[in-house]
Amino acid sequence: MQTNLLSKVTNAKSSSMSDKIDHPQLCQWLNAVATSRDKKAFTQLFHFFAPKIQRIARNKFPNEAQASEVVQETMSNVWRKAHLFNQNKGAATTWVYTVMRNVTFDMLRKIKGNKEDNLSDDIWPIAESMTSEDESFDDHLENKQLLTVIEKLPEVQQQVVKGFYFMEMSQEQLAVHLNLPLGTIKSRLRLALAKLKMQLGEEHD
Amino acid sequence: MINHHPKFELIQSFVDGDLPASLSAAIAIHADMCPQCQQQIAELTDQVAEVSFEEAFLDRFIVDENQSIESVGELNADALDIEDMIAQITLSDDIDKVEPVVEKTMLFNNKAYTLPSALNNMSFGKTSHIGKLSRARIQLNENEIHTSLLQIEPGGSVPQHTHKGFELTLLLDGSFSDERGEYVKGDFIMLDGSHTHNPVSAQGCLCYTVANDALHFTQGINKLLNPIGTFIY
Amino acid sequence: MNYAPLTLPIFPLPVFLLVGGITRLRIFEPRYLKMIKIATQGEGFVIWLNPQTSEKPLIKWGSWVEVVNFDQGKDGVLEIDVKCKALVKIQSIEKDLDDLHFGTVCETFHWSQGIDGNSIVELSDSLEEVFVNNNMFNELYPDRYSQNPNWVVARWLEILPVNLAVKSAFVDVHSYDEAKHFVQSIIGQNKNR
Repeated sequence: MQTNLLSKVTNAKSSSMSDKIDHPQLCQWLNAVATSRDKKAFTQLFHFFAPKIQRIARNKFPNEAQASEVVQETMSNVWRKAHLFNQNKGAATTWVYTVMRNVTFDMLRKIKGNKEDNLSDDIWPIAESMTSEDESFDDHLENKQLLTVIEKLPEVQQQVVKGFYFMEMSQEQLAVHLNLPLGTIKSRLRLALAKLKMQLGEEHD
Repeated sequence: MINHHPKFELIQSFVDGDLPASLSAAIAIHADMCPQCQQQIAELTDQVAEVSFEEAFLDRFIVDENQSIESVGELNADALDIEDMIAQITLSDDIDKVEPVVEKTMLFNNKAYTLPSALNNMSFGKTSHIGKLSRARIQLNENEIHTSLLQIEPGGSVPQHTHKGFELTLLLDGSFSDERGEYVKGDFIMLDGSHTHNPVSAQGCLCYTVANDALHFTQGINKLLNPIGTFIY
Repeated sequence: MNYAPLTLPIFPLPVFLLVGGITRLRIFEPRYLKMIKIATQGEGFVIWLNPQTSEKPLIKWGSWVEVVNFDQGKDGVLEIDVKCKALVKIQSIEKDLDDLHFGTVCETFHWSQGIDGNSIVELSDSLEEVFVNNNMFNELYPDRYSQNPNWVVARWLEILPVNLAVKSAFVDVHSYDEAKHFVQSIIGQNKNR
């Protein structure tokens, strides 16, 4: 399903391996958990992820009980934080992987360093859009009169049932391509949109 | 422009979650300032996640070829009381609210620095000073690995030294130079025991440093300074 | 320009495509497999940015596409490449028993099918660079019209990370200059090249 074009190409190998994962389905379940606290969808997610998490954790922890704790903690974070998943930023597998890695990291620190400082979410943020810059950027977009029309476009369901390769570049890819800092790209986009808004305003008022 | 990046193996371990907190935070901070590394990390994370969760993943654990994926599933079902766990987790419909990240600042010699968000929940020791150097130890409890914020005031330098383990310097603000050239904000400089250097900062700088052994000063009278080694790293 | 109305299958999908634009879709839902069958025997279908849930069509335009290539992915899912041949005005929409949308549509002229006199070297070069470095694009676009400014601006607009609603503003027939300036203000001031 949604695959950003540049990464898709550089990772031809990974995309061929992905064939076995039903990404749209995972997205749909995750979104159902987020929007309607759907226990059936969560059960599906659980059956998909839990055995694999158990296996991965078993390689990092000395016993089965601790591995189960990783499963419990990861899946309960999935349940409580599903609303932070943004499918425009990446695949469901990537998001769950981040949640699992963070749980594992904090648990290992607790065991090895006797520290319960839970640093992982600072190092690998689960909700990237929480920074102020992104927020103002989104706000700005939301102001657009046009947006009222398609803003609520249910991309979620649509991609789930149809699936398409997302041909759009991400801001990060554009930054890399133009060899400019991400901040510059963001401010350019902001500026361009502001100008456009003024033009549209002039024409429509 | 940032010229020094973490090498691939380090980024890979970062994505796998296998690095200590000190180095993980360093790579996260660097990636925040470096679109290339950010992109590389994002791609690698996608790949690793994909491989971890693909259906065939369980196959790799099957030693006996006659054993089917289903029986591995059963084995897991024994270890995990699935229904019970699901019921327990979904008992409450509460969701975790994420607070917007609040920027933290830290003062060194009356100059305020905004801390990278990766350091937000780390605890800092008291700042100590020697000459133009100020250091605040970050308390991560990683045994022989020591992590600090090190400020060099304009015109300050670290005497020529080497070390037995590794020494990472991540420039958070300002610039410094050594025998190999000039370093700028965002540069990720990893040295090992084969390197000797003598960083000088004309304009002053703030660094995030991680080292797994005290420095050894190598030059003439500086040998007398070896106690500084344990001070800095 | 006057065109006779046509009846075409409609595919609600959040994909922004101007004339000449190509994208790859994965089709696995039965009703859309049926749609592709109709589309390949007939005159293509229309990609429509509208929310599926709304009763009345809020968006009155769509991208009329034809299937230019198809393949089966490794997972057995049908993959089709579609190319936009024109934008259409959607006059009315109905659903059949399989919940498939059909629309009465009318072809309209859009700037993305014209040729502007003034070349825009910078945007052409940077677009070419994106395409060259990207297998997916290389595969999808065997023929590239990098010397045609309208084609270049349209492709840039499709791949820029900008909200679909914003992109939709450039569907207006006279919006070429705005579109060009918009793309230039993001891409065209890079001092490194």
